[in-house]
Amino acid sequence: MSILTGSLQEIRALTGVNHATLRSQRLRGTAVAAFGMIQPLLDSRWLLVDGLAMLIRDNLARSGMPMHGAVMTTRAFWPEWTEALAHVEHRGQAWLFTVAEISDGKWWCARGPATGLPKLIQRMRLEDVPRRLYNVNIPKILLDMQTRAQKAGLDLSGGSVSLPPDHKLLLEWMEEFRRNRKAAQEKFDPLHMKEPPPPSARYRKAIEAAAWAIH
Amino acid sequence: MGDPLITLTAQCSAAARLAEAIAARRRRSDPETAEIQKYTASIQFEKRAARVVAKLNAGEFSDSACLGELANYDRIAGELGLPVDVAIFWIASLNKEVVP
Repeated sequence: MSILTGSLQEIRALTGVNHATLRSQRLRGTAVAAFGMIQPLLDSRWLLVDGLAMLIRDNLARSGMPMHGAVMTTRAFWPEWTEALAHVEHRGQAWLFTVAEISDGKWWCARGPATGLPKLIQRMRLEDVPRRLYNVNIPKILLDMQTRAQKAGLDLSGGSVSLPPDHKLLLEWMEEFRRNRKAAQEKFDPLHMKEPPPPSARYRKAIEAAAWAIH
Repeated sequence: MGDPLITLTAQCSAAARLAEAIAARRRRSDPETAEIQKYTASIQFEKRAARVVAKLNAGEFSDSACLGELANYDRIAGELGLPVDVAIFWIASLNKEVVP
């Protein structure tokens, strides 16, 4: 099972982000990548899932979330949106990644089957009903990426954006990240959270081994 | 991945809109039942409600797709003469599932 990678130029073509914007994001500290990173994990190669992280951040920001919050949410909750992505891509299931603001400084992030979200909100105690919901439509992001790939003449059939949801490596990466995040999550506030730690060297090597160029 | 992704996009979009409508409705008014009662305190409503309940029991609003669920809520709201978010809570108060 291969995870697709591309050059910076290819990722820009797939995400519609131009060079100046990308440079500005790096300078302003609003750059994001997969695995909770600020820049791609692999030197000189971008994973397509890095591009997807950028689009998720932009999606959250467009929905009205402050940019810094969108950046930290995308980075700190990559296991959640990656799980949704894996279910969409490998299982053909409609999964949403949702961020909710309950009150000042109180947030939650969740992923799960889209049909479950209305029922969840309906069943919540009134004081827990979020005042803002930010839903990321991951199939739409994948669809846009696919359309851009066709336009740019890029072949995405050699692998996938993510590993399947039950893949051993993916489960291990998520477990490691969640373990490190657990203490900080108690006080999660996307506007004031510390940066999540990067993946360990062992997992970095495994990602390198699974990476497959899209040319 | 083309066509399935379009369907999944529509399902996610419909569920997100529905969830936002429910959240907005619940935030606006504490006792939803009071709001429902305001809309439903008429004999004319009783007749419409009986028709909708019969259709619910007959499984007429039982699309499996999430997009269908939203469309069904729109249809039910139209038949009842209620705003869609009030209709959603009216259905919830019946403990009836629009989607099986």
